[in-house]
Amino acid sequence: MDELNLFRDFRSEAAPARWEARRRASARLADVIDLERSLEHAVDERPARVGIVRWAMKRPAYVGLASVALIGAAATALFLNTPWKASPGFLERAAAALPTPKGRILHMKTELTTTSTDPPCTVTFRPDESWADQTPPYRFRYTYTTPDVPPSEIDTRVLVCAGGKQEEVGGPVNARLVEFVPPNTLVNVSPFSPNHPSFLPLTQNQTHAPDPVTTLRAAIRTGRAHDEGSTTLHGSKVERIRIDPSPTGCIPCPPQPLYVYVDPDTFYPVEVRGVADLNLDGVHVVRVELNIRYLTYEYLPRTAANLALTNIRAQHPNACLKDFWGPGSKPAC
Amino acid sequence: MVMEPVQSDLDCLALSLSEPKAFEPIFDRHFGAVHRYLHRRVGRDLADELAAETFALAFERRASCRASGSVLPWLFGIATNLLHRCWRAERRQLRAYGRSGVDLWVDYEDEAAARVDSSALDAQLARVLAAMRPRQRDALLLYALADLSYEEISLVLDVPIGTVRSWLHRARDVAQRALTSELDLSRLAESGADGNG
Repeated sequence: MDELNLFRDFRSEAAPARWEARRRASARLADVIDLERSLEHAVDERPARVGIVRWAMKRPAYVGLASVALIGAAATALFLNTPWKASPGFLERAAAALPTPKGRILHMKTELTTTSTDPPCTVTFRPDESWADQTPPYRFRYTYTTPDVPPSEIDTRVLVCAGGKQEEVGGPVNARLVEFVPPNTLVNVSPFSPNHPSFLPLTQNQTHAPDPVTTLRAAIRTGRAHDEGSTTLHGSKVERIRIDPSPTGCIPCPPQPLYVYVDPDTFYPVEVRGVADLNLDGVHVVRVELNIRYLTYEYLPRTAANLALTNIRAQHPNACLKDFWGPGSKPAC
Repeated sequence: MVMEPVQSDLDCLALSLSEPKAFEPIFDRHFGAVHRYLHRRVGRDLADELAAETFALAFERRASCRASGSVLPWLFGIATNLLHRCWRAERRQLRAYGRSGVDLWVDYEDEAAARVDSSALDAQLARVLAAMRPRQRDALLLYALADLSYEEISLVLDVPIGTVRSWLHRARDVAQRALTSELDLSRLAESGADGNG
């Protein structure tokens, strides 16, 4: 008897793939195909050279480092994902007035300031900037600042007071990210990869493009938000909205309410303020005050030039593309 | 009625380089087989994720495919490479299944029948698989579950065919020793000759 043949029956009664799994896989493939087709059509770009990078490129500290830069993203995500409480007046008007963003490209520029008392420091990061196509597959590009700290110094107390360096990622939502690595490489980062910077708000479980207004529009109908009336911010009249902490669904969850200041006419976000307890090293918890200023919030027409702004490969047409897999393949760059 | 000729995998692959949507028939033909292979290795939940990832990667890597007939072995290779990311999870599952005899990860078509009929032998096999090195396990399961030949395993794992022969020879030895000794223990236990009777 050949013992190896015994293994042919191992778990042989396993059920076939469920319809839902097949549908999700098919949608995933369609996204990747669409990405390639749109690249060919929207941008005059030579095909990127394809190669592979072994797992030797792992940077164990990456997630932690990226996370601190994503304090703002997390707070923004809370703003994106927190249901708003329907209340008469301002919120109803906001719900009625918010624009339908389809066929547009959202351009946001935000500046994050974090303040901690222990350790004592205030850090204003260089502005984050994003371009998000509001049409499937919701391609976006995001430049953000991450603390410039060597992996050996990963400590929440160091990270919250660290200066930053600029990083850039892009891709469709719910798909793998592409990260730009200076001087001229684009790295395909799988969500299974330890390198994946965990842009949860941008890349997972989203059914629409990253846009606060899209979620706001839907969330006002069912959620938990409180209009706290008009106030003045930086010399302009704004409406203050309090969002109570959500019991589920956000990491890190601010322990206290989040305050969102919006333009009373357009209802676009002007500033977000809140508090977060950060634990980036698994050991130390540091409480920080967050302040996110929206320097730019605008919808751009969906022209080829603006689409290219959402497309990280179009922004780096001569970059070498590296991937994490390829049996028999050899690195091309 | 006009019957459209069915394009081969290689035709679809070649055409997809200029028309990406031509890749879709490859998904339609092979998703079930790839998912089944992954399902039998790491259970349903991980299989759902990894099968989707396999086809997304296959599309992106299609220009480097060296298949000469069906692309299925190539797809199994991608899936196997993706499994490396969760080899610890696979080992944990196999150990737990081997210890308890209860398979918590795989969905069975007929749950009750499958548990009764196959769990005893499968649990033994799970113990043997858990004791193997990951690459050795890959080679064995590509052979046994994916039905690949030694040459195909050599290609998809990117190792010389002699290495595949060696891995499978060792896998056979490990399986033979483990199963024989388990069988003996089991007979001893059944006959009450294990010192307790």
